[in-house]
Formats: sequence, C-alpha cells, structure tokens
Amino acid sequence: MDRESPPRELATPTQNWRDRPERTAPTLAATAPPAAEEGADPALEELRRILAAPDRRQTAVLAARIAELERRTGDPKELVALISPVMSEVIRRTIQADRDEMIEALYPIIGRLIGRAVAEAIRDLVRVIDARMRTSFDLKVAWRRLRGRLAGIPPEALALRDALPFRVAEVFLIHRETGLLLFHLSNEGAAGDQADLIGGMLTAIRDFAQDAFGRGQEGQLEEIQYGTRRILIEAARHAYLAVVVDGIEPQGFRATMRERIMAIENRYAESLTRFDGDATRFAAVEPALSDLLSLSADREQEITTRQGLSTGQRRVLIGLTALLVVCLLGTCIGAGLALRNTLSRPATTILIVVTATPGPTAAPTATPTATPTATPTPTATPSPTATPTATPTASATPTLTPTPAPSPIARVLPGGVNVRSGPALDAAILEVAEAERILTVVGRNAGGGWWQVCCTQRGEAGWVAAFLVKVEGAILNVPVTDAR
Amino acid sequence: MISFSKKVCLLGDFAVGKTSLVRRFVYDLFDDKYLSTIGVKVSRKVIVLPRQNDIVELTLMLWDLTGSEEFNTVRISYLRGATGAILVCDLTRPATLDVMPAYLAELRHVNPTAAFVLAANKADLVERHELTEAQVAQRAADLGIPYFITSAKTGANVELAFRCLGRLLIGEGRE
Repeated sequence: MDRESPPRELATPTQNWRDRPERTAPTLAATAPPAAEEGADPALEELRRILAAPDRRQTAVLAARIAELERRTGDPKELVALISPVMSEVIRRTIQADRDEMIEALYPIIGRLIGRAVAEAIRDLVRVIDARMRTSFDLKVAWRRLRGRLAGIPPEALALRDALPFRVAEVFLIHRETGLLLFHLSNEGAAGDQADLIGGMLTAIRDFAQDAFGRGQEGQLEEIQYGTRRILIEAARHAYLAVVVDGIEPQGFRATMRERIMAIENRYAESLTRFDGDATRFAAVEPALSDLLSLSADREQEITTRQGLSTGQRRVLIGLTALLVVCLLGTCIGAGLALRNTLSRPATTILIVVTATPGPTAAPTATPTATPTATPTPTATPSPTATPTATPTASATPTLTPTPAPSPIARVLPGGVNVRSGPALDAAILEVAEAERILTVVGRNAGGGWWQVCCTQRGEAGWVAAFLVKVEGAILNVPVTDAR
Repeated sequence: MISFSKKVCLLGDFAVGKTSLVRRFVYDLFDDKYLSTIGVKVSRKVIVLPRQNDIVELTLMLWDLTGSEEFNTVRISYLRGATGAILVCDLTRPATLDVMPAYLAELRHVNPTAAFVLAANKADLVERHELTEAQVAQRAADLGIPYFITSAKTGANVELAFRCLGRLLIGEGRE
C-alpha cells in the first residue's frame, strides 16, 4: 500500500474545498504533507511522514464529510429533504408526549384560521337562511320578521337562534352562606344523590372567585361554562339559584330566574335568615322551579312577549293591532256601502276587454269598452298598428309606443355578495357588493345558481350567487351567457 | 325521622391527616385536586343519631380546607356558615396541637356558637409520637371541647369523632 498517495475519493471534495479558501485554508494546511525543512535529517522526515500518515488520512476524510454537509445545507431543497423525516418524527413524538403544550403553541395560528373559517361559514349560513326566508311565506316567518323589526334584530339571526337547542338540565336552590342545598330538580335523574355535594362545591367556587377576584367589590360569579354546558347563577341575599343549561338561553330567561329567586327570598325570608339545616321547609318552591326546568325553546316566544318587550315596543304592537282593526272595519264598511249602491241601481253589465297585440313594433293596446248591452269580442290584430274596436261608447284609444322590456335587476341581500369573474366559487372576486345595492342582470349560467350582473365599480360585468341576491323583473328572457 | 344538614369544616395544619380522615369515612364525589386548586373540597358524611324520642338523620357537609398558608386569605369565606368543626392535630408533631386555639378562634370569630371536636390523629404511628394523650386532654380541656385519639389508617375513633360532633350539632351533647 502506498501510504503517501491521498485517498482516491478525496480528489473531488478537496477540489471543492480549495474553491473556498476562506473556510478551508486551515484544514488544507492540516492535511497537506509538511514541507521538508532545509537541512533536516531525511530519515527523521521519513519517520515523521510515516507516523503522521494515518492522521492525515483521517483529517482528509473528515474534511470530505464537512464539505458534503456544507453542500447539502447550502442547498435549501437538499436541506428540506434532509430534515423533513426527522422533523415529522419530532413533531409526532412531541404531540404524543405533550399534546396540550403543542395545542397552546399552535393556537395563535390555527385558532385564528379556524375562527375565520367558522365566521365565514356562519355568515354564509345566515345568508342562505335569509334568502330562503325572503322567498317563502309562513306565519312563523312573518311573526319572526315582526319580532326582529321590533327588537332591531335581523330575522335571519332570530331564525338561527331558534334553531339552536336550549334545555334546562338541572336547577339548584342553594343557601348562600352555608352552601347547603335547599331544593334540587333535575331532568337527568342520576345527579340527584350528588346534588348537595355539587351545591357545596358551587358555593366554594363562588366564594373563591369572590375572594380571589372580587377585591371588595360587589360583583359575583354569574356563570360557569364547560363546553356547551353552562351554569347560570342568580343570587339574592340569602339564597341563590344555579341553573345548568345546554345551549343559549332565550331572551328573558335570566330575568325569569331573577324573578323566581326574589320571590323565594321574599316568601322564605325568615326561614332563610335563621336556616338551621332543615331543607324540608322549602319543598313548596317546587312549582316555581319546575316551571323553570320545563322551560324550553318553545316557550321563548312567551317569555319574549311577556318580559322581553319594552314598554315602547308593546305600545307599537298595540298601535299596529289597532290600526289593523280600523283598516279592517273601514274595508268592511266600504264594501257594505258599495254593495248597497250596486243593488239600488238598474242592472248593467260592465265589461273590460283587454286586447294585447304583440309584435315587433306594436305594444299591447288596451281598449276599455263599456256597453250596456254589447257582447264583447276580444280581437287580436296581428297588424303593426292597433285598431280600436268601434263601439257606441268607445273613446279614442291611445296607441302605446313599444319599448323594450326593462332588464331584471338583482338586489343584494343583507350580508353582501362577492362579485366574481365567473360563475364559480373559485373564480376571482372582482369586488364585494354591499347589501341593497342594485345590479342589472345581463345573463345567467346554464347550470343555474349564478346571475351575470353589471356593473362593477370598474364598469365590468361579473357573476353573483343567485341565493345571495333578490332578482326582480322578467327573468325568463335572460340569456345564458355561460354554457359551462 | 328528622333530616338536617350542617356545614362542618376540617381545620388543622398541613399533613395532619384531615383529607385522610375524610377519604376513608365519607362519600366523595370530587377529586383531591380541588384542595390544591381552590383550597377546599366538599364531602358528605351521613350519620343517624337518636334525639329524645326521635331519630335524626344528620348530613354533615364536610369542607376539607387545605392546610397550606397560601390559602389563608380565602379561608374566612369558606368558614362562613359553618356550624361546627373537627380540629385535627398530628400526634407526631407537637406544633400542630399548639395552633389549635388559633383555628378555634378563627371559626368562633365567624360563628360564636360553633361546636368543636379535637381529633389527635396518627395514633397508629406509636413509635413516632411526641405528644401524649395527657397533653391532648389538657389542651382539649383548655379549649372546652371533647377530644379523640384517632387513626385514619386503622379507623380508630374516627366514626366516634364524627358522631360526637353530630350530637353537639343537634344539641344532644356527648354520647
């Protein structure tokens, strides 16, 4: 074996490494065979060369490896390919080891994205609900519209609210000072034997919150939330009500709770003040609390009407009802008078003949003909000019100048709509049209669901989703402008 | 049968065995972690006691308060409404008996008519005892309350301590 010749595989790396003198010079110096000093003993030099040969080879191998690493880390693609498998494994293991920590670390990014997506989805849902509500008639829908107007809430929001489930799971009546349970009702049965413990811990949590965060103020814990379940708390002087609910409580529910606890406080003031641990004295509160327990979404309207409406709103409702009654009475009286007049006159026949003359240059001609005895003859004259029918009582009939039918319009529904470059969700958004904006419909797509409208602020045509606009006018003649 | 509920606190220094007394002899629903989070855990102990010609079912709602110093600021509110307490000390640590008057005074400040029982716990660790029964008896006498040498581990006298407090709460005195 030739000890002096450098390893063959080092030729290329060493060459690269020479191309970067600022980094590799010291290494080069370390691996190059030392020059023989003048006058040095050749035998000694030979001995030194032999002894240093293994180190030089090892150094050369290391230099080659470093050069390879530098090459791979210098190229972003190579670097990604190198660390991707490791990173995936690291992330997987970290998630397994400490899921909560990972969630907390990622929440600022993912949470915002999810929030935005959910908000967008809800907006779309509200738009759909609104569009459907506007195109349908139902007594419930009409009532909801009226409620919405009075309360200043969009009807679609009320519809969405109505769709959410609400249920009272448990009702606790708890003595405020001792935390002892005075009465308990449940729709879930199983929690009955633990109700006193839950009552005690609820009181402890209330006390803890008051001590820790109240800082001498009058505030108190009003709600505890866990997932979709919440505990609503309404307190009086000596007792408090804790109601476990699923979903969003209807308007006025808290007021009802407050009303109940105040009524109990007033009725049992003496027993509550001198409470000795005998809860049987409070058995009579059951009707009031079971009423609260059975409260469901169906009773929301009742609560809203009974407690949710302000005095002003009630006055408006009464005024509207009175106006409606007056209108109905007026209509009835008017109709009665007209009927009496008709019956008191000699019999006559009044006929109105409408003749329509379609044609490129002629508009429909209406010819009212009032004859006591004549038999009407509807005529359709396919001539470019309308010919009035001669009758004894006919007057001059105006000939209308034909005008092209106006284009239908699209009124943007609440929430606005994206005007896109094509009839598809992936088409570019040209602009966002605000609610109530009116656009001219100039076309539709073959598949339906999209209207081509004009114009955007830049004067160009765009496409809007049909369910997000209300189209008025003759839509049958709207041409298909996109055959996709 | 008459039914009553009373709020009762377990008071005593850290690691004297309050939670152990509760854990073995009462109905638990909540985890002990509440002690370290909000400083209290509520448990239930039901005892049936005779009273004159009647029987009383007494439900003791036991508020096990943490013994650490950091919760001192919240403890007062936890004591509110309590009608009695079991004062717990550790027979292996004399200092835990010395602080009993302070705990008693703390509850008496909130409720002057509160009933007390002193439980000198860890009776099973005989070789490590640094307190004698005589010392415990003397302290109980000073405070004017009954005492019991208890062991949460063996269960010795624990039930008796609860029953004694129960009788005091319904106005029947010691059994």
